[in-house]
Amino acid sequence: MSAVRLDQVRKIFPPIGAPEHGAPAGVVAVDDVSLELTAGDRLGIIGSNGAGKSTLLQIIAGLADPTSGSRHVDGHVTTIMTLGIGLRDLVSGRENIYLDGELQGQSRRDVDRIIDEVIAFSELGDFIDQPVRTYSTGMKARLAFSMLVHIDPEILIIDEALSVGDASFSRKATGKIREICARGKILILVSHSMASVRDICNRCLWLDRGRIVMDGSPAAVCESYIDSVRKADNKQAMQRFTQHVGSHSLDAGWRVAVALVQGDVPDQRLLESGAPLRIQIEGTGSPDRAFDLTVDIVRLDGVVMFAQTFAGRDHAAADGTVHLAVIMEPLVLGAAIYRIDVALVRQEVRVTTASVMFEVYTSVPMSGGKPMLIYPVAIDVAEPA
Amino acid sequence: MSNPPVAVHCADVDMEFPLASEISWWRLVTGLPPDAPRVRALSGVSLDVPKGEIVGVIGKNGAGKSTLLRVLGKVFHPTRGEVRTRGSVAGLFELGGLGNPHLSGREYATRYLRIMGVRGRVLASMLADVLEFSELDAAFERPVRTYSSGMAARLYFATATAPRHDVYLIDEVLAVGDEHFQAKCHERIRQVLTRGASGVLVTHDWTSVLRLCHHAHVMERGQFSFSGSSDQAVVAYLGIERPPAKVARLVETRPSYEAHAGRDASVPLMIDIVEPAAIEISISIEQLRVGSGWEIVLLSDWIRVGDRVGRYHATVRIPALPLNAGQYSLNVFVRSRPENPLAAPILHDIRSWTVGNGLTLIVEGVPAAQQVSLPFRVERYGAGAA
Amino acid sequence: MLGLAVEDVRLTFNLFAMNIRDRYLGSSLGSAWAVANPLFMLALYTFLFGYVIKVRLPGAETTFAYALWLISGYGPWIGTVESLSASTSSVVGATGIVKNLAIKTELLPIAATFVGLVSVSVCLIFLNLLLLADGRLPGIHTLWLPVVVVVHFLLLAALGLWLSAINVFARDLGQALPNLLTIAMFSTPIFYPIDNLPELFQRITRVNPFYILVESYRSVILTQAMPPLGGLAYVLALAIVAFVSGLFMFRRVKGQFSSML
Repeated sequence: MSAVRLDQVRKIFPPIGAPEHGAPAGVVAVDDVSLELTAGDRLGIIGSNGAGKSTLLQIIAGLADPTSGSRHVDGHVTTIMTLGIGLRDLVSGRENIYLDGELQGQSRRDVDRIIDEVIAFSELGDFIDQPVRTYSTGMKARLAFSMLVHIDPEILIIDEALSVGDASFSRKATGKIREICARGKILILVSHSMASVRDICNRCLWLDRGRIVMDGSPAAVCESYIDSVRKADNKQAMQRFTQHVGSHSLDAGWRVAVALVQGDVPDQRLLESGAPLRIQIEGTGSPDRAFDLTVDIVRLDGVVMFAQTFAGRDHAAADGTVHLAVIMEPLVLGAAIYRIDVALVRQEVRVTTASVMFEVYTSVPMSGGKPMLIYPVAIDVAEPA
Repeated sequence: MSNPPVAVHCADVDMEFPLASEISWWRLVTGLPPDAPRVRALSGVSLDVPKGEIVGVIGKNGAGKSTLLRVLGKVFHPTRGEVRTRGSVAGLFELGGLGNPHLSGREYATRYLRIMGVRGRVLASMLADVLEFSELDAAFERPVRTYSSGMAARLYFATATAPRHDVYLIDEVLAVGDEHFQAKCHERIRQVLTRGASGVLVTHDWTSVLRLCHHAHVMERGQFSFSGSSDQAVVAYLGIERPPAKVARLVETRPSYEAHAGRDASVPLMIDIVEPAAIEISISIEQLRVGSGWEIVLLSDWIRVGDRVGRYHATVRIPALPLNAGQYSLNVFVRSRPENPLAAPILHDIRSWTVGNGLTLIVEGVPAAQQVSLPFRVERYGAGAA
Repeated sequence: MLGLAVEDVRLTFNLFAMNIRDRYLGSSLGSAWAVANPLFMLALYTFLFGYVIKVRLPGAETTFAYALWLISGYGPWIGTVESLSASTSSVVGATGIVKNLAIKTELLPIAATFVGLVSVSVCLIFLNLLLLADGRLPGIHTLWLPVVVVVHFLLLAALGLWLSAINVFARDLGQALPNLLTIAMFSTPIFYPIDNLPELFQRITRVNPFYILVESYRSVILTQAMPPLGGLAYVLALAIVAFVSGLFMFRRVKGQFSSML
């Protein structure tokens, strides 16, 4: 028997203000979604902003009615959406826990049983008896989160609330979510973190413009999603970074240009770490070849990653033209935004320059952090004698 | 010997708030009795910021860091103690306080700058700077209520740092926004410091403190529990206990290991598995330059060691070490993963500067300006041939 | 002087502009409400007291005369209500500013007081248009108008300092204010001449600063006579004392605003 069932649900928001001539009759937030969940299902929902995820959650939670289609939910839904929105500023944290319990249908005695646990989890200490308006945003988030996870939810919906407070609390929060999931209830998690979805969920939905694009195992769906986001990002990166292309020349006869080639795409702005990269430079200097070609790669925060000088005498052709490819097999730069500057320098003067910004991503993000370089570090282990 | 000029000075600052239940208008006007119960947010805090530097204050939520910042920014007046600042002060506290969500980004920035006293042509050029730094493009003209929290954070930070000030008091602002934005913020802060401005950064994000501050204080319950160089402060703040190392442990580690830039590096490690468990190991190599940068340069995956009791030899191999000459921090982690895939892994042993027992990797070679050297080769190609 | 400096003037103006902006932001008519609202109130009360209840002034039998008389008294009162309402909630409504900006919070109620000026201006302009329509040009005594306005708003600013500070600690004040103002409005002879009141109340009313201000407005616009100088001087003195003491009181309590917000 399914506990959550949606049948061809559609949700259309009427247009705000006077409709423009030729504009659609409204915003279709959810388009023909059918879904069935039973106990033990841990569903992850991914998709770009505006894909309809929040609206879908609201429909499942009963906060919004579908325009058409049917919704059947068996069991009480607990939602963790905009954290802290239900907190009453003027009463103490402790009182808020009781108030929230009442809203969830629990008596004061029910709350009394778990209140010490909730307070301990929140790590608010003496502040628990101070009015909530004296709390910092981090503290409010901790209180809200602690309140919600200590209730035994039947159907738990979490909308991207996992990154609250400082690192240690965030870890505790994630651990708690796992605990709840392990108790075999239904979990619906909306997240931008593929890692969370892959870790916690056993099923994944990709929503785009209100439609289900893919429904399957988290690993498979996340991979397809990331792939499509890459392609879209590259287009965006090209647009964003094209305006940062600077080409300057002090001398009319001199010029230099750079292209970033990866795979069979002639010039990219979104590069994959670990794949080969060909930095193709062409330029024209003076026929006496008394100039240098400098290539610098600088990270967005100013750290210099690469700085090389190539003498014209060694690398330029007899007519003073340069056709040089700097090949990195593989590219080991870590995920970040960089700028590459190439210049032809004569007697310490940069006669002509070209700059291009680009972004590096990695398809295998490491769990220990974001290293500066993605480089093979092997550890060979020998069995004991 | 003359002391360097101090941009922010506070001595023995106490900040007490009477309990809300004790406050009434009449009692305030006539003067509260001295024994009225009060909440002590700060006790005996003293802090000096030399000109041109930024000092960090790390602490958990509720430790009193935000209150301290507001006392320094003269939003609150301390119950005891003195506060002196030199020059104009910019307080980057909870931003957006002036905002009305119906205002567009441009209107918000204009309102803020006008309140700060900026007008005319300077105002116009600052608005252009805000637009550029925040990367909002067309959204700049749309109402703030249509912004995502990241966009709003970019707007507020860009606006607050547009006018030039001598002292910047920054509260957790850098915690919002993605990494690219944080990188820009760090860069902006560095520029500001180069100009001779000073600052206080208050946060629970110790990586920011490590990257921007030479000195830092750890704040706990309204007092400084530690003051010193940023890396020491981070160790005190993280308070990571050395794991018991009962199930598995690293043995016979040397305080330092050597390698050579550009050559294959190999670091020998020994692990004893004392009780049967599925043991894994990973290492990281970090560069720690207090106040200018902290970075994980190289990172390994979690590699399986074994699950039977015994002494295992593990060798870390890095082909053609891409690090240039210098001293790096070598960190080793030993953990086991429990049967239940949903449960968190358990750390059994650790060597890390954050725990106080870090190892050093000394890389020999020709000194270079950059930290890393990317492997590459060059190839000439004919005109017309791709 | 008095702990206020020249820079504060600009800041006060900016806060005032912010107030006006925020009031009407988000509504489709926007600042047109600043004109529409007062005019609507004027029309309503003229109708109510002029046609329905038929109050008549001694010596002026026409409804038009009554309307002019009413507007010249009620117009400034609209400003009074707006200023006092705005300044009472000026601190509690600016939590973001109080907790995060190092400005002199006493400027908040002072800036809020100027909100009433907009309504007063609308009403006075409307009144003068009516007078012109009636063939009555402004006379020499109209030059006293700025003086009356200054005294009026100094008094309002002073009251604003007191009300805004007390409201932070006793929010009941904000709740009670609309009713208090209504009582004040009907006890002041704005809709009816003072002679309608019993003798005792007449004597009390003569020392009511708002009554003196109403009479001052009326004399300089309608009857074209000098305003009651003794009365104005008394109101001015009252305003100055209230303002200075208000500043002192405000500064004593403002340190605890953040605990209450």
